[in-house]
Formats: sequence, structure tokens, C-alpha cells
Amino acid sequence: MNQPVLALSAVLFALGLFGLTTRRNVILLFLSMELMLVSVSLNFAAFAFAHQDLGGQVFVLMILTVAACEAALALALVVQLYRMRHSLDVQLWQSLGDPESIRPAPIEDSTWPREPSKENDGPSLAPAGRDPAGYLASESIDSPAAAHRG
Amino acid sequence: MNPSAAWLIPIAPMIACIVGAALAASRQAGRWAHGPTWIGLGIAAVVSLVFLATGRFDPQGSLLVDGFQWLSVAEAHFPVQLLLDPLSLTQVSVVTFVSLLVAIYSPGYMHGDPGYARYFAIFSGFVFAMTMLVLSSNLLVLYGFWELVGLCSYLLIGFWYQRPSASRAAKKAFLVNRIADGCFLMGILILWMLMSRISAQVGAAGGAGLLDFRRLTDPQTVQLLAKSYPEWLGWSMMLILIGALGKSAQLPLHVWLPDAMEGPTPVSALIHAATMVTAGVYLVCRMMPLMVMAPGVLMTAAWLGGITALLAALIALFQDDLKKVLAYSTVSQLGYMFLGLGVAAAAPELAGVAVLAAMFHLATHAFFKALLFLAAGNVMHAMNDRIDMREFSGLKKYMPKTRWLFAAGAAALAGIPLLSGFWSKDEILAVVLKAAGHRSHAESFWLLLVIGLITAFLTSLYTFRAYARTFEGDSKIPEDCHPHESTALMLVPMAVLAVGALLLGGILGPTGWLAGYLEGPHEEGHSHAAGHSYGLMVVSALVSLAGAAVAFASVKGGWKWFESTSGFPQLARQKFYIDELYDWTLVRPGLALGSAVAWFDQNVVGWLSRSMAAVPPFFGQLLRSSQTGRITDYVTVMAVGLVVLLTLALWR
Amino acid sequence: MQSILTILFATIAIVAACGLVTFRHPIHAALSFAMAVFATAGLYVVLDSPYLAAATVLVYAGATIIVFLFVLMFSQQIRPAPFESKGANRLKIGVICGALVGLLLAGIDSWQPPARIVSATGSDITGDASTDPRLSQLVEGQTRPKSTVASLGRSMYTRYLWAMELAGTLLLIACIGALCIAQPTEAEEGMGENRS
Repeated sequence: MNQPVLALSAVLFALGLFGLTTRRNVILLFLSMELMLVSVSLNFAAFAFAHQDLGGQVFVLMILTVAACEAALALALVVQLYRMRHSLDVQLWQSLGDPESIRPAPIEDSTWPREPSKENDGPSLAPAGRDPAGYLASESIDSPAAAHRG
Repeated sequence: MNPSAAWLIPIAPMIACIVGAALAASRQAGRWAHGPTWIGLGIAAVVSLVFLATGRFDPQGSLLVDGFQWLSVAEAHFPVQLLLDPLSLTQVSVVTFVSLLVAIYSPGYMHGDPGYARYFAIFSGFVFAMTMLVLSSNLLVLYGFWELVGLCSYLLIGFWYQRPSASRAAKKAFLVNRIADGCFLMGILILWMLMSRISAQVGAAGGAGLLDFRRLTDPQTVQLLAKSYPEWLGWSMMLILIGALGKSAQLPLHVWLPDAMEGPTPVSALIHAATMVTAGVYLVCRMMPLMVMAPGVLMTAAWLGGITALLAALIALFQDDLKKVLAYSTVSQLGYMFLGLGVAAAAPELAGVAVLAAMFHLATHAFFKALLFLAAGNVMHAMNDRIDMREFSGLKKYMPKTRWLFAAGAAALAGIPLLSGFWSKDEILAVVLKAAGHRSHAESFWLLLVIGLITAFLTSLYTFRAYARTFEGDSKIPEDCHPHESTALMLVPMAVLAVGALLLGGILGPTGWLAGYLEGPHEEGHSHAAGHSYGLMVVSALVSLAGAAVAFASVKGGWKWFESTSGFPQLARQKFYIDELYDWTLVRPGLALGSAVAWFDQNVVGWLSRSMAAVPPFFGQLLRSSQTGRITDYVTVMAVGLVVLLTLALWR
Repeated sequence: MQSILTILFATIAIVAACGLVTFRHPIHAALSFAMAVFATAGLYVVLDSPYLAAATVLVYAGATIIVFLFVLMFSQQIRPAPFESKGANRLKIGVICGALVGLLLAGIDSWQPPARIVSATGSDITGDASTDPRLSQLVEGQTRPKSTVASLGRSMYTRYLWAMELAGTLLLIACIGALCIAQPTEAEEGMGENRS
């Protein structure tokens, strides 16, 4: 009953890698990486089971810890990156590449507006931070915060 | 006085140099930069005069003042010590005294110059280097300071470096001196080699201490060297002589000195007339005991000196630039000194009188030539930096004091009887006459005597012509000038120099003081008697008076021959085309060679290195497209790598 | 029973993971990741590691996903971002990943279960592992006590004490680091003021 688990972990790992290379949303890149970590954890658990050794489980806990650390730092970085470019597209960051080899990020699908429209089509939260867009300071009626309150 | 006090002579100007350089940092403080220079040079002058008057020497006739070990490498030690003996003390006294007077003169001349503090800093630095050059006990240390005075000279010639002609002149001086100094260094190295070869026989330790003058001039060493390595010694002496000729601007290498007049006039007075250029003469005097072992070298010196004296006097005769006249006059007088030194070729026992004559003329020349240059500086100051004698005349009305001072210097230089120049020049002619009496090279020396007399006539002629054209005659001044007499601060040091120019020769020469001092009590007194040959005295007095008479007559009569633009006058005015000769034989081939080498470097070597440099970019270009800066691309590569590694792991 | 559960959870996990990599809507993708984590947690239970199952659900499906969703919302990316449709060359990467899976499966296939297993009771169990799925027998036969949270905790705080402490320290450092990184710089604060 062990090999199916190992096979599953292999498949999950490959899928995580696939997601890591194909997705462009930074957050989803991180989720793909987490998936890879999960697959590795599964491997450890399977071997722990096979060997009847608790070391494998402890290892999984370690991985969990590291994943949590990674998530915390990654999200902090994402927040900073988002502040810089106001987008989560990972291909906007290519500054480390050779200047002549950098290609512009592929053109976006025109069916999707880049900026959210005024008619919100989903749940939305006010941007975080200490009054980042002047919601509290602004008294004008047509400010989003006022609209929100109204 | 404690011998260690002799260190004050170089140290005081050195401190003045450092303080002056510090003052140069601030424009406000820089205006007081002459203060430290005055104090430093004053201390140096007083101390050297005290030593000159009271110095007591050990039986060898000198005194070694301990200094410090500059450098010790294995066997080679480089001690920096001071050697006090009559020769060095005479020279150092002249140097510091004249320097002090010129330093006192300088503020008036340099007033308001942006580089005021820089000027005084380099000035003090020069005096430091010069005193160390004179006092150092070791040939190698002497060489070091020899280069340092060259550097100071370079800096002062190019003092107004914004002026292209000044920076060109500085470069020229540097390059010409480099040739000479290179030869000098080779001579030193050969001598070093010889000394280390014979060191076992004279029981000396190794290292640079071998080049101590006291050891070099030790009679036993000299004999040994002359016996064991006569040819090597001759080469070494020849190379050292070339070094001296370069510094003293003698014939093949004289071209830099007239151009050096681009510097401030007090610098011309001090460095390029009174002190630094005499370093070559001093060096030959120092090395005289060894030089006499190579009579051919001394003969060369005599001939080159004689020819230089004559040619430079001829050139000076046709110059319109007052400073150029004085510059060529300096070259000519230095030629005299070398002529005087060269007589030792006739017989070794003439070495003493040769040195005496050269040093005597050196001392008096320092006074009257400095005086003349400073007077020329006054004229320049009054004429808004014009120095071409065609543009002004009859300045005696505007600058009476300067006129009399210039006249004093001119008279001394021309050898008017009973003035300094008369005595010292006569001394040189007398030793030449004496050398002509010896069997070897008699014809040469007779000829040189004639050349000397002709030069004496020419000297008188050009000096008084310059004087007459500048100060006598109808008063003519450029339009924009308001001629004025210089300040007392400038005139007083000139007056002191004038006193020296008029009287120094009479005090030192005929009385035999200098002779007695230089030769010391241990030598027999017979040699200095060479100074007096009354027939020769009369002849040279007549010659100089005749020159003066012709000069005044020619200026008053407006003789056109001197202004002629063809034939001999033109030839002499163009300095016998020596500069052009160098230009065609050395500079242009050098430039052609340089451009050929540059072409080779650009096209052959450059092509080689460029093509070598093209290889890495070629391979880099292949890999370059992989650096897209996209995370996804990198992860893809990582995935591929993972696949490859797994494949290898599974089917190893 | 065990194999059914394993197959079930595995299927859910794979389907959810596929959803993660294909859904254009980031929220959907994130939620399918949560699904995959839940399925994995189920597998942990099957693999006799209940504590791991609980921890995974807590950390991944609980904390991580929530924070991720929060950041998604903070960045107003709650709808499919336009750029999601133009990813890298999926076919090429799919081939690479397929090759990877193939190789891994080949490696797993050649793997032999341990020939000598030390049971928790201390008695040695030996046998031919290749023919007999012994481990499932062990689980089914209940020949050994279940690994309990207590035994895991004992192991963690005895044998692996140092590693755990280091991991805790790492977590602390990461927390502080995240705080420092995420703090707005002064320039940005100034920009915010200007904007208001």
C-alpha cells in the first residue's frame, strides 16, 4: 500500500513544478511551491510508515515549520512587490536578466480588464495599511471609502 | 659650533617648504608664505656662514656629521651624512646666502600671484635639495638630491603652467636633464662596481658606503682604481661628466637653460644662474681626484667648456630678449668654469688650482649674475612683463637705482678691472695659461686661452650692449607702461648682491683667502700663485674695456650689423640652429619612431588583443539569451536538470 | 479499506492539484490547493500519522491559505488576472514534468520495501517484501500499537530536540523578518500622504 502513496507524491511534485512554471500570479507560484513541499512531506510520512520510524514524521513537522516561515516571508515580499508595481504578475520582474535577452511580458488577454471596474464583480476589501489611499482623510462623497460606508 | 648644527642648513629650508606647502592650502594664509621661507633660509644662511668662518676639520681636511641610515638592504647601506669641508662649505654658503637675498626680493616680484605660496614652498624645497646636494657625503645620496633639484627646477620653470610655452620649457628642461642624469647614474653604478671590486684591497666594508666621497677620493683608492681599471674608470668619469654637463647646460645639452627663463625671474636668478646650474661644476670639483686619473675626460670638459663659452657668448650678443642675453651669458660663464676645471688634464698637480679657479668664478658669478637677473626682473616688472630690448630704452630716467645696480653687475660680469668678475675670470685664464706651459696638450690650451680671451671680449660686449640698450640712450617705453622704480624690499637685497659683485672677487682672490681656505693648510702654498700673471691681467683688462667701448659705440652709433638679418648675425641670433638641429636629428626621428610604434601598437598589438578579447563575448553571446530574468524560465531549466539527473541516477 | 481510502484521497489530491495549476481564477486555484491539502491530510491518517494530518490542516489549509487569500484580496486580485491566460509554453513544460513523473515512477517501481522492519514492540519482522505488501498487513493486523501523538512528542523533544528548537528559532526569525520587509518605507508613506 506504500507505492501508491509514493506515486501520488511524485505526481503532486510534478504538478507543483508545472504550476510553478506556468502560472504568473506570484501568490499562485507560492502555492505551487507549497504543493511541492506537501508532496515531499507525504513522501516522508510514507517512509516513516514503512520503516516504522518516527523520524520521518518529525521531518514532516520540520517541513511544515519551514513552509510556514517561507509563507510568512514570501507574503511580506509579495506585499512589497505589489507596492512597487501594483500587479502580481511575476514577469514584470526581470531586472536581473541580460538587458538584451529580456522579452516584455506577453500581451494580456484583452477580455480581462487590467484594473477592476467600478462595478465590483466580487468581494473586495479596502487596501490595507495606515490609510493607504486617504480613505479616512478624504471627506469627499465620491471617495471609495465614503461609497463603502454609504 | 657643534658639528651637528650643520643639519640646520638643510632642515630649516625643508621645514619652510612644508609650512609653505601647508599655507598654500588657503589663499588668505598663502599671502604670508614668504615668512617661513625667509626664516628658514635665514637660519640656513647664518649657520652656513658661521661654519664657513669657524669650521674646524679633522686632519683629512673635512668633517663628517652623522645623520641616519636611510636604507639598509643586505650589504648595501645608504647613510645620509653631511660632509663639511672647505669645498662644500664655500658652495653651501654661496647657495644659502644668494637664496636668502633672492627670497627677500621675491615677494615684491611675485606679489599678487595666485601661486604665491606654491612659489615659496618650491623655493624652499629647492634650497633644501641644493644644500643636501652640496653637503651630502655620499655620491649616491648626492644623486638623489641632484634629481630633487631637477624636480624643483622643473616645477619652477613650469610655474605658470597655464602658459603653453612655460610647460613646454619645463618639459624640455626635464628631458634634457634626464639624458644627462641617466648617464650620471650609469657612471655612479660603474664606479660602485669598481669600488666593490677593490673594496677587499682597501679594507672597506661593502655597500653604498663605498661611494662616500672621503673613501672615493682617498689617494690609495684613487691609485688602485687607476691602476686596476683605467678604462672602466675613464668611462665612469665620462658619464659623470655628462651628468655635470647636463645640469650645467654645456654645449650639447645647453638647450634647456635659455628656455628655462620662462619661469619667474627670481627663479632664473637663483636656480638657473646662481646655484643649481653650478651643481655640475661642483660635482666635477668633488670628483676631481678621480677625474685627474682620466685626463681625456678633463680634456673633453675643457674643450666643451671653451666652445660653449664662445658660442654662448656669440649667441648672447645677438639676442633681443634681455633675459635670454643673461641666460646665454650664464651658459658662457659656466663654460668658463668647465674650461678652468679642464686644465687639470695637463697635469694632475694642476687639479688644486683648477678647482680653485672654478669655485672662485662660481662664487663671484653667483653674485653678479643673480644681481643682473634681479635687475632684469625689475625692468620686466616696470615694463608689464615685456623683456624685448627693442621695445624700450633709456630707462635710466625712470629706474635710476635699478640702472646703477645693473651697471654694477654688468661691470662685474664684463670683467672691468678690480671688480669681482675680473679677478675670477683672470684666475681661470691664468690657470689655462699655466696649463699651456705644460708639455701635454699645450697647443690645445693655447687655443683655449685665445678662445677664453675672445669670450672675455664678447662677454664685455654683449653685457654692455644689453646695459646700454636698456638704460641708456633716448627714453622709449611701450605705451601702456608706467615705469616705476621697484620697492626698497626689492632693491636692498640687490644692493647687497651688488656689493658682493663689486668687492667679493677683490677680497677673496688677490689676497689668497679663498685659495688658502680651499686648499687647506696641509697642501703647499705654491699652487695658488698661479692666479697672478700680470701680463695676462693687463691683456684681459684691455680686452674687457675694449668690449665695453665697442658696446657703447655700437649702441650709440646704432650699428646696423647687429640687427642684420642675414649672414653671421642671423646665424647667431638663431642660436646656430642647434635647436633646429636637435629637432631634425632627434625630435623628428623620435616622433616618427614613436608614431610607427604607436601604429604598430594600435594595429598589430591592438588587433591581437582585440581579437583575443572577442573570444569570450562570442561564447557569452551563446549563453546570453538564457538570462531572461524570468523565474519561470529558470525553473524550467531546473526541471530539465532534475530530469537529467534522475535519468543518470536510474540508469547509471 | 486502506487501499480504497488511499486511492480515494489520491484521486482527490491529484484532481485538486490539477485545479491549482489550471484554474484561471486565483481564488479557485487557492481553494483547490486547500482541497489538495485536505486530501493529503486524509492520507496522513491512512499512513498512521494523525498528528501530521491535524498539523497539516491547521498550518496549510488554515493559516497559509487564509493568509494567501488575504493577500490576494489586499492586492485586489480576487478575479482572474488578465495575464493568467498567457503563461509560459505549457506543452513544453508539460512534457518535462511528464518525463519527471515517469522517471520518478520508475524509481519508485524499483524501490524495495525494507526487508527488515523493526516494529514498535521490538520484535523483528522479516519477510519477502517484494511479494507481500507487508506493511498493510501490519496495519491491518494491528500487530503493533498505533503511533500516538505522545510517542511523536516524546521523539520530538528527546531525539530531535535541537532540530525542533532550531526550527522554532527559524520561525521567530522569519516572523521578525516578514514584519521588517512588509513595513512600508518612508518614501511610500510620503506618497500615501501626497495621495491624500
